Amino acid sequence: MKLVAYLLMALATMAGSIAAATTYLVPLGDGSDDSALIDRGIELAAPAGAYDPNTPEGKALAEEIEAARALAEAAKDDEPEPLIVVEDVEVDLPPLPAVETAPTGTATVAERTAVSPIAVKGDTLNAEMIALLRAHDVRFIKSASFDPAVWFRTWPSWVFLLSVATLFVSAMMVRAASKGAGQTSPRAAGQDVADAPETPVAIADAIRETVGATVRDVRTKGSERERLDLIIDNLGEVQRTLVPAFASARPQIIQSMGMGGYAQVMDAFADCERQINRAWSAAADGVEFEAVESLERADAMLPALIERLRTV
Amino acid sequence: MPNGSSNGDHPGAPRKKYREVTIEALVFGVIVGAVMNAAITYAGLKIGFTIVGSAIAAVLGFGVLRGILRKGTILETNIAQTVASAVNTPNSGVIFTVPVLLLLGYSLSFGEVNFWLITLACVAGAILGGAFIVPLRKQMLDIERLRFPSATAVAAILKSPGAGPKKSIVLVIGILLSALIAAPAQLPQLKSPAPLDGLETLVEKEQISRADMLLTRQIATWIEEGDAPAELIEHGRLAFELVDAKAANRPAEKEGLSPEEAASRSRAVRELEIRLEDAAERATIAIASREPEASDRGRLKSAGYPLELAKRAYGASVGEVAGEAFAWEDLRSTKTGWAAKPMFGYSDLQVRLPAETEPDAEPVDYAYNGLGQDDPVLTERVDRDRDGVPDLVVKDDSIDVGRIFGIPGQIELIFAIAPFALGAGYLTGRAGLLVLAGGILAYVVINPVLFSMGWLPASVKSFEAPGFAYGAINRPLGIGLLLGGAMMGVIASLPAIKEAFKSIASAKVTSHEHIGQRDELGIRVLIVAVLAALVLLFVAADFTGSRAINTIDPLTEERIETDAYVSQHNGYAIAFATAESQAAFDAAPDDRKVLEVEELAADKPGLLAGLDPHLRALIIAVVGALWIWFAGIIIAQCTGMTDWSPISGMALLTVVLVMLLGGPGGVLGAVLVGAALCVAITCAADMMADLKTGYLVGSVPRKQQTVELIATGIGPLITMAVLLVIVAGNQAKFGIDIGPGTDTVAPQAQALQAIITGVQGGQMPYALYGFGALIGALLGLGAFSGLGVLVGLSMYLPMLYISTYGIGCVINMIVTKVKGARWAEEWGVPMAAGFIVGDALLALGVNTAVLIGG
Repeated sequence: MKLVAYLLMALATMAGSIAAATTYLVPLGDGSDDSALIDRGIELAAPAGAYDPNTPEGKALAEEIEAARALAEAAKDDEPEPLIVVEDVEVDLPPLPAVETAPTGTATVAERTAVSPIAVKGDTLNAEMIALLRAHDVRFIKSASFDPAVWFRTWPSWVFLLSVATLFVSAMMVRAASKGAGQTSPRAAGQDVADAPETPVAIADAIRETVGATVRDVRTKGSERERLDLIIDNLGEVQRTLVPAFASARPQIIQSMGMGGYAQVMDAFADCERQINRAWSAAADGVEFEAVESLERADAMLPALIERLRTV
Repeated sequence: MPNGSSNGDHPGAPRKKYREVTIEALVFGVIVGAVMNAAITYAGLKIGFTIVGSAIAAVLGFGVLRGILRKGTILETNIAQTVASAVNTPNSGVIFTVPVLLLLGYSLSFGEVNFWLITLACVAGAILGGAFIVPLRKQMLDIERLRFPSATAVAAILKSPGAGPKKSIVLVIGILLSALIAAPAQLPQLKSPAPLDGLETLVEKEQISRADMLLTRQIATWIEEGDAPAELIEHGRLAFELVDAKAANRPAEKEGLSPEEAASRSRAVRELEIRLEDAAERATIAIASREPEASDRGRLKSAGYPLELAKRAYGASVGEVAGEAFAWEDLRSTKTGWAAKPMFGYSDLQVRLPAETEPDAEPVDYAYNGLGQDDPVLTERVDRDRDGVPDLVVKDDSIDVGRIFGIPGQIELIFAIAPFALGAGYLTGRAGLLVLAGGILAYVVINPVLFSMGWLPASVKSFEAPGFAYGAINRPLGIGLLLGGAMMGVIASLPAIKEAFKSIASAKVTSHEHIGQRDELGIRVLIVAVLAALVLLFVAADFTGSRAINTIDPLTEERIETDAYVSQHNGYAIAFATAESQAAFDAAPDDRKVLEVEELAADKPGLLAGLDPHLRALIIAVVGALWIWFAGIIIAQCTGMTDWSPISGMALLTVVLVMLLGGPGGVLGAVLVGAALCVAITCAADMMADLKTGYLVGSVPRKQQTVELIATGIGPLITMAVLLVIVAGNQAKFGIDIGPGTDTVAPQAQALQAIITGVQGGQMPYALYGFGALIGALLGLGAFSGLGVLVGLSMYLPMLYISTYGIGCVINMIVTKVKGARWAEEWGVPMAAGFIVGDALLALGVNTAVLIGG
């Protein structure tokens, strides 16, 4: 079930994201509702349409576009007289000398393949612009503002809603499947753990065994170097194998103890782990007293942790 | 009880104090942090480069404390890197935001209230960010066990002396290998003046343009002849004159002058600006006219030249300007437009697509084989920039695998040559595949579908689709997913957060050394931080809410030099340059006033515009404090899971949030409060990463938290001081504070300025944020609450880094499968750590060299 749920989740995320990307698109429609489009005074947030400006048709179209744009500008309020007249700085400069130039190869090729947009960002949609865009097979324009009433009349909005519903259902399926899978050991679940015991209790027991043995053995060693090496080796092994294994048992612990119980366990485990880490660092630095003390503190914390894990 | 167990029965163990927080570590950390802060502030303003610097501080600390002083322990070095990164980190929050004020015309100097208010806000923001994150340490590190790849790498460095010589060797090999791989990607940033006889080769390799070559040859002639076109020299003379005129036009210089005299100085500046623009055009024409071929004249005319060329030419012609000596040889510099030869990079391998010509296209003269010789036209598939040479697929910093395999342009499959991303991916392991999946979703599914469906503008070509969609769709949708995912993460983690709070409040003691002291700072710190945040943000919002929002008179476009003429409109304070201007505005009808203040965005009131100004400031303060906490969680989660921090996205949202509440016209307030919040957010993430390192080496969190909270306040002071020095230097040299036209173009602040302009123009994609948040929240509703954050982050990041990061994740899985998890952890982690550190060290070195070299 989990695999199906994840597959559904992936598909719904794809579909939902694609549909969400259309939120600012406004369909130009078939012309029956142009007045509504114009009345909204839509400002374009991206270019729309494309044409080749170098063909005779393109040149004619460019003039039509300019005319449409001029009408849109004229529809806006006239520029009012300034409230206060300011003297502009004027400098008398001789005309610039002329220089004869020719297009480069790059410019020539770029001109040959040039594509110009019919409407540009910032243009306001008017009847003339709509007609030009529609005549060039433009079906959508991107508006600068989101209009839910428009978007929810388009099919991508329904895809989005369906995706949201699917995401919700698949998330619930994943949760249900995760509850069932909570009993699975980290290794069986394919976690990246080394050769470690299967259950959280067994892992914690193994840590206690190693730490306890180190506390005992350290007293039997003759030289400081031997004692420090013993701590470094044994705790290094705990850090490399048992600690990651315990962390990977998260689903099992949550399954049996809930999120709050898991938090309590990990809180206690982390305190212990930090002492192990501190003991290792002190040993590496040759500070034996601190190393042994931290080791003993870790050793003293482990029984309570194991007891808590066993009570569930 | 563990803290009572020690009784001195450890065989032969002297009761020796374990060095952790020491004077040496603190002093070293502050010095290294201050130097990095100053250098990175400059580098950030000049080239947009920032770095947290923990890894660098750890390596330096390792060398100095252990190597030179011969007494540093792992924990002491950890404290040193904690302090260094705490002092350094706030700079990214400051340089993202504060220079925007300078770009918008506000001034900053030691004598102004604005400067001290911003500095205070940033200092408080730095401390608050750290304090706010303290109670989340247990939840993120102890309970969620986030990986924090860079923090893990730093811990690997710190632990290397005890990990045995073999692991240290692996770490060093990792650093060297990383530097070796990254060197050809980063070294091309270092450029030197190209030799004259190698110019054509550089043109063929597309490392310089033909216009660069032509200008360089002309400059060489001027150096040889000891003369330059008169128009160019005149341009330089006017440039120096303008700097002097601007200096004389500063408010401090005009004190005591009559209004007429002051106005004449302003006019003189404007007149010189017009003359300067004209002189630049004349000089460009003069330079272009020296070329015999018409197409070369066209090239030079459209390319222009740097202002520095004109200034040095004038300087050389007169020998000395403002006490500085000039010589003609000074023109041989990459700053003057002399062609720059980059150091060896991957692009020197010249791995290009095979040539593919358009059979029907008429040949054109690209001038590669000399002028007058036509070449066949290549297809756009192999020559997107249409310059007649097949495009490179292996560039200095990336490999375009998609183009190598002929994948359609709308599908982006590109890999960054970035060992740090590889190392971070390895350290994240299997979980990082979700980031890769998110990247594939955005760049291989969403963008191509949008292109195929005709939902992108028709003028956008297939290979332009990924870039267009990234800015218009992926990024805002990704930010929305991040927000929703983080929100769901917080809800899902509520039981864990509750337990973490209970644990902190229960005064747990595990340290023998400090009987009766907590392991970490308690809830009281959070309470004090919340109160302090509210007070500070209230003071900042209240103060700026009453300040004028403009520096230019909306009627006369004159610069405002006094706050004597201020009118209220729409909840904003609008300043005027003169009493006449203010009177004209006050007498105008309301609809006319709206027109006049439209450019200041003061025609649009904020959501809280109708409220009493003090109540408005209080609400902004409360929302800001909540935002610090929430955004801090997002940044810490992202850094913890992947090593990437969406700081620019959070900075954007922070400023947008304040502008929505206070009104889009209130840029000063938005940037000031935004700066405090951005600094807080970056410091929160840094604190969490440092605590992760500390956790891995067994440091006491309380000690780290205390030194970090104290040290981090120093950071904004250094950054702001450096900013002022840069501004003073720019004023003396260029006559402007910062930005285009100076050496410090402040790229990140320019990006934020564009966003502010977008908010003012009402063009923010709020719907995409909202729908993204819904998807992000639902993704987090499943088994893994961080899923929405991971997918959102991958949509927010450029594909090239995600794909390299993904390779790191896959390598980890393969190594684990083939050699076993223990081997992967034991040998793979130091190697991956070396990759992260080596890349960071090289980047710092290269950028330092760029700065020194100018």
